[in-house]
Amino acid sequence: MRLLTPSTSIPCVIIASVIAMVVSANIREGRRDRRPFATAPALGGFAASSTTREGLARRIAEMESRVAAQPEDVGAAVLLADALIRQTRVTGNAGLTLHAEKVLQTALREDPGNYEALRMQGSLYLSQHRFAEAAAIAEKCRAMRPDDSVNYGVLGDAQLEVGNYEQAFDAFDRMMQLRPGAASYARVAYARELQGNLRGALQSMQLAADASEGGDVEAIAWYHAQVGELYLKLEKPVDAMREFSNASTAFPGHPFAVVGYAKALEALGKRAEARALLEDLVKKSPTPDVHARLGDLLHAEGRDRDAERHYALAEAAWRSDAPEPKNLARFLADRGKKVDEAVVIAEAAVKVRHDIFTEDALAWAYFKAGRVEEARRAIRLALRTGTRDQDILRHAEAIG
Amino acid sequence: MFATLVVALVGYQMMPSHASSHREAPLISSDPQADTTDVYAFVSPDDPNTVTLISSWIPFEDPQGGPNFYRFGDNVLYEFKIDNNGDGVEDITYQFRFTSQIRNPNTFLYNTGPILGVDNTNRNMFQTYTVTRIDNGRTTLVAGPMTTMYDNVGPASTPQYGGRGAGVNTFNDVGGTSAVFAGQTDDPFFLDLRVFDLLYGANLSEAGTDSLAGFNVHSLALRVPKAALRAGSPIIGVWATASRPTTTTRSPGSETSAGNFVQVSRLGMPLVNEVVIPVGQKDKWNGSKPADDGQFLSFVTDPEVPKLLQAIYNIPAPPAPRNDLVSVFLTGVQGLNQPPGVRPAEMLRLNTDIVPSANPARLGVLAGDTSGFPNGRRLTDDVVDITLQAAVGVLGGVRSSLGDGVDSNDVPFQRQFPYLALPHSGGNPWKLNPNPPAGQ
Repeated sequence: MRLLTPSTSIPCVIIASVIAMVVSANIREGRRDRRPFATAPALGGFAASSTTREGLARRIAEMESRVAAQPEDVGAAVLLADALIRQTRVTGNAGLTLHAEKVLQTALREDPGNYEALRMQGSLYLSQHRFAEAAAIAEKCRAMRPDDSVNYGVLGDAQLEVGNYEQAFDAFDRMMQLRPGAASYARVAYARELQGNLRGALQSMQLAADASEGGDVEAIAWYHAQVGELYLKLEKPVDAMREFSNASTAFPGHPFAVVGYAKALEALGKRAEARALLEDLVKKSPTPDVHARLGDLLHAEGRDRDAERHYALAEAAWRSDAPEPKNLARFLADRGKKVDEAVVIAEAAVKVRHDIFTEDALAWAYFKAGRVEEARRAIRLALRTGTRDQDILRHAEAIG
Repeated sequence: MFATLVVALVGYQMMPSHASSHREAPLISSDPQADTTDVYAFVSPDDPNTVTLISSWIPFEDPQGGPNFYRFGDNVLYEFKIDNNGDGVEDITYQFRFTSQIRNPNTFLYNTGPILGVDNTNRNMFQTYTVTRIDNGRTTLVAGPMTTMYDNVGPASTPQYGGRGAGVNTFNDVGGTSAVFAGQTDDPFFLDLRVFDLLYGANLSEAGTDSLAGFNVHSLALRVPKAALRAGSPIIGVWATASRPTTTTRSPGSETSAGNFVQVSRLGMPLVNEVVIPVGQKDKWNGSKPADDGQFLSFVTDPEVPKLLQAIYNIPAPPAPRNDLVSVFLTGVQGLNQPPGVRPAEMLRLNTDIVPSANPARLGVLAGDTSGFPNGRRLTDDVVDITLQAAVGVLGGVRSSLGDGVDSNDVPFQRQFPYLALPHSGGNPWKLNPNPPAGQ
């Protein structure tokens, strides 16, 4: 099993299954005139170092030059897209997914039935929040390879994000039966969390972190950060801090680790230390989430003028660089400003997805706008999975 | 800790814009702890009344390992399965279960001083394990807990690494004493991985470098009295599996329930996954049982690789059906290692009556040495060359010297159990001190 990896792995090492597929397709179609391509080791499949910050940058550069030289090298295109999607996760630069999209489009023009390229397109659509398209691709890939658990992951993620929870949970359970592993444990953990089972979520997420060991460091960091978030929700900030620290050991400065660590500090009453961490961060990365959190910390310290400055920057960024309607609507409603606009934004969001967080944003906006009956209807929908999300519960209590 | 984290922020670019919405969990998870690289089964050369079974895990361990260290999965069920009557179903199973231990929970150092033995208190992080034997579905013994062999961290942390018998435990087995080893070793497989790349269009004469030289793996080795494994026939079939527990989204009945174990990895004969099973079938293969291998039969009787070799190198592909390959991969070779009444199923088949050769031939049975591959598999058997030659029809009388140019392992194997070579030394202080000063 060394050369071709188990079910959910991208093929590792030099003989990638991508190539085997390209080759056999070529042979079947009598296209031996085209030389098939050697494929570099898949990310995370060869050595843990390949998904370090430096490893990702190196891989991107290497695959860029190969794809530029030989656009028909579909295997390289898939690896490039994978690296770009991961880089998006660790940098927040959404422009990278646009580039990945172009790369995959070119590859699929060369080889329209290429399974690996199609499957990667599913991941890409998820990261671009194009959930309906992701689900459609996943269905197509599932028809091609019914035993590949990854397709159920894409399908479940897409359903979950738009609020089709029963379908999503079914997909995750199927994924688990095909291949228990980090990817499926993490999805079951999230499903449990959404249903208010935090201890069960923690158990499955710990299995995910454990199953990622020895593998790719970017993923290891992600899983440990998620375990940390669950400890925070279980009000165990010291355990959370250890997990965020583990995440940052695996992938220094992974954004999920840093923000989580600041949250844990805050939970331990070390507000000044948390603020210092975020102040340092926001200088390098003025994103809405960090600005908003920093604003909250400053507000709690009574530094309202500084807080307002960060709130304004958060709002500006949410409107431009990182549009996320439900977050913006809730942010506006929280601050009791522009609540009518918050209602408009949330109502528009609910037309395309009815997940509990979008319903909650709508409920909160209605409530702040004095539309209590509508708020009650929406908050009931936000509570429908049995979530114990603190914000949703707080909103529900206020709405009554 | 706080200072470390701040330092770790250097090079940090931007925050994720969607941190609080779609989580974007990784979809593709490599799982090295459950990824078996190779399985071996041979009559022990220094103790021919016993059979040695070996499985290796965690591909491509970097001896220097970084601050992360390698270990068996605490949540992985590792198994050797033995079919001793040819029906494709395991009659005997040896299960390995691992539990990570830490002496001092206030440090995450691998060791707090030089490690001078498996139970040395300077060994801060280690694993214990149990071996369970199951005969026809019934648990017949549980041995342990025993302690794993420690990693070869480097001369400062693990001086005088690996003396004779280091890390070897024994237990009372059915009908005698068995020996067991679990821990880091050299990766015993040797090949030029480019052979697979080259298969697809480049020049085979370019091969010849052991791609696995210098890498470590984690290995399980078991030396069992022959009598404890055999039934009526001297021929046994062996394969290894790894399974993980499932969890369910709706977790009925309990907040934290975990469900059944699902097999995620399977290996018996080498290279089957590489040269026989088509890429679209590999997920199904990894979860499958030998008894159901009939579903893969056409990939053996009419395999892809010989056609590739013909297309690229003009080496004629023998006509299908390839019954010669069926005997190698699925039934054992008649008169050598085929059990009576065999049901075609992929596993390593070993005739335990054949005495180990004093001078093992690299090409095993192809060179007239019936104590080697494909009669079981020894550490020194050159399975890449044997398999390539078999693919082009050597067993049917075709002459071939096809190969990858790598004839032996990069380091010598040990003469006594567990026979595997010692792991390559990390040679640095990483595990002793995960944050060494610059320049070290």
